[in-house]
Amino acid sequence: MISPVLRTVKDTGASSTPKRLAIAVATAAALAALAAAALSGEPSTALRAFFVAPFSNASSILNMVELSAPLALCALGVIVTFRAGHYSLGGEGQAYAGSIAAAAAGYYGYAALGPGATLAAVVAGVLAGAAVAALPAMGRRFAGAEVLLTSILVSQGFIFVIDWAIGGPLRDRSGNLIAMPALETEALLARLEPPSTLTVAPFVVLILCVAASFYFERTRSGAAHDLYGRNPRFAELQGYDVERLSWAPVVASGMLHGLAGALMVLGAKGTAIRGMSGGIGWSAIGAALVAGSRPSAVPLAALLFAWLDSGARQAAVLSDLPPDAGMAIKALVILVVSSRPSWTAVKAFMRRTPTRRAK
Amino acid sequence: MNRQSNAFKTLYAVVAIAAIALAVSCSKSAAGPDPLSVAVFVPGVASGSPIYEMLVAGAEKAVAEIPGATVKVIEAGYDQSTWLDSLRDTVASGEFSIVVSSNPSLPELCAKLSPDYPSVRFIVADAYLPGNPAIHTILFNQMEQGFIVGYLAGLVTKDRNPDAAPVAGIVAAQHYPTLDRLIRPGFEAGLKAVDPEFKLEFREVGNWYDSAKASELASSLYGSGVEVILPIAGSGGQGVVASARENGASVVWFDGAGYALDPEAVIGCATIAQDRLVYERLKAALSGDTSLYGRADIVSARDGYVGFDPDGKGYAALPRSVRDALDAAIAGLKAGTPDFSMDTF
Repeated sequence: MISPVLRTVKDTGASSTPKRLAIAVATAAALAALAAAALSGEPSTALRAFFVAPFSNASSILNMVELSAPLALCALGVIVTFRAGHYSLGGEGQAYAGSIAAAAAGYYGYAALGPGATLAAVVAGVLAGAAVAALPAMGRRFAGAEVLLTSILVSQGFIFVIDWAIGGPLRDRSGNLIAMPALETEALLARLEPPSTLTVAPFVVLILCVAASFYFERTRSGAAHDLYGRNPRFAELQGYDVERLSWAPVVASGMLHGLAGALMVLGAKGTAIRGMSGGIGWSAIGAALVAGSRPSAVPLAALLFAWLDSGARQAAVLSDLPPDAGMAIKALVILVVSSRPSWTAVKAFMRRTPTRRAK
Repeated sequence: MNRQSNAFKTLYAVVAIAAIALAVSCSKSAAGPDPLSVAVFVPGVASGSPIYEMLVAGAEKAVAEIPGATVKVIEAGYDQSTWLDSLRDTVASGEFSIVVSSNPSLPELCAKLSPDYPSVRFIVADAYLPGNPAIHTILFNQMEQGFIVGYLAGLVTKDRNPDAAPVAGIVAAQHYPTLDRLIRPGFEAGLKAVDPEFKLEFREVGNWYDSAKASELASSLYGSGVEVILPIAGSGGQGVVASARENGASVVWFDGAGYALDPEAVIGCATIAQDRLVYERLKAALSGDTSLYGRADIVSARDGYVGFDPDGKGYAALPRSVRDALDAAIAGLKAGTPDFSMDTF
């Protein structure tokens, strides 16, 4: 039995995405205003920090766009796997694996490859994400194991191992942060508009979102992907390659998460820091939900979440709003956006009950 | 489907136009920050952390004495992976000309940002980074601090168990250069000044907040015969104090205010005058002294920045002979014996 929320993430599709985005933006704005009024002793400063400061200069806007890129990639990964009916919750570990692999390839590969280490880091990140996703994918393909469970178990295991590796054998002992050695500047993605942190990452996201949109809406493979997600048996009867669809979307999702992890390292952070993936897997599911599972809406949904993060941090800097307020608002936005299908399910249940009684 | 696509096209067009308009309008306003506007960047939470409370107190005192100066305290929380983003938001806000902080990790983050925000200056206490023209760091000679509590731990251990194999412990949050190169060698030197046979047991918590794990590690050390532990574990240190209380053992504390945690289990606190240091350096910076930037100073017991707090019940309960011996050792340290002075780190 698929929960209404998961079903919505999987296949809301064409009908209501702009409306869903509008609800999310309005909810976020209302909650941010409420938080500023209720939690801050300086509500007007907090409001200005939340709503004006993130847009107060070009650098802040571009930082926000950059911040949204890894989240958008993870959300795209969520859509790819959820639309195939595989509810992978392992995005966090896949992104984190992408980060550590990219940092290792970027740092150790620089001596041999020079600036080519950037490409090596991207490839390493993608492969690491795919490797973490491959375990639940293979479990699904060969043993029929439920991805929902195996993905989160595998991901959590990897998170522990990566935490240990960054704090232990791979740690830069000359620094005080629990982090790997910093990559050479030449190995990082070039910054396009300093002092902002903007790199090519958001443009990569746009290209991938357009490609994913085209795949789902204009190709036979995309249609098969969606059909398999709704009814694997029917997809099989239609002659689609269901064996491939039983695992490939999970691995593709892992690759997108791994790429997101690599871009985090190759962007502003410049290395892998322990805990750097903090919550991106969960946020990505929320962004996918807000985007109504449509790749074309992912950049906007990710931008909304990036604004919440940036606004909350600015509010903490410029006023006395608690820094965790952004996370709470994000959670409530997800709750509100997901409440519509839940309410629909309740109404459907209420409609069915008298019928059953009558029988 | 067409309506849907049109709605999306409109949405993206509005976002794109708004972004371009904002970027163009923003690029025109490039006024620098108020030169007397100060941000105190706390990489953690100030309340309950003596070292950060002193940081805030020192900065607020300096700002109060400079007409027109303002101060804003920014708490970045304990997650190291978010500090760079928070610090960037702080300097990118354009509201502050001086950022004051305290943590060995901070200079490397400040150095990442300083080329992008050349009008912002950084003063970081309890840290060391020479040669960056935008950053002034001040390092406490924590080898001396370690020596003081190590010497006390040695005296107390020998006093309570004169015939046992001498051993003491450190429970640390993580390895980091200041710990490995100053605090631990200083503590060990203090122990060995009492008895060269002393052994040091070292345990790592893995983070700065897990008091339950710190308590477990401390309990295992106390169970194996350790009498006194030095916790360097942030709020995790409270777990070591709790374990000491349960095991009837003792703790020596770093950076002051440890007696308040448990007046009996905490038998001594090495102190740093962080509030005074921050006050002096920030006041000088606000008064226009630009010679600070680029400098990395090291301050010590001889200057009065490193010392010992004797005003605790746990310390007063120690035998007179122990307290006299410690007083003599501190006096010797201030006079340069043993000599832990250093020009660089």
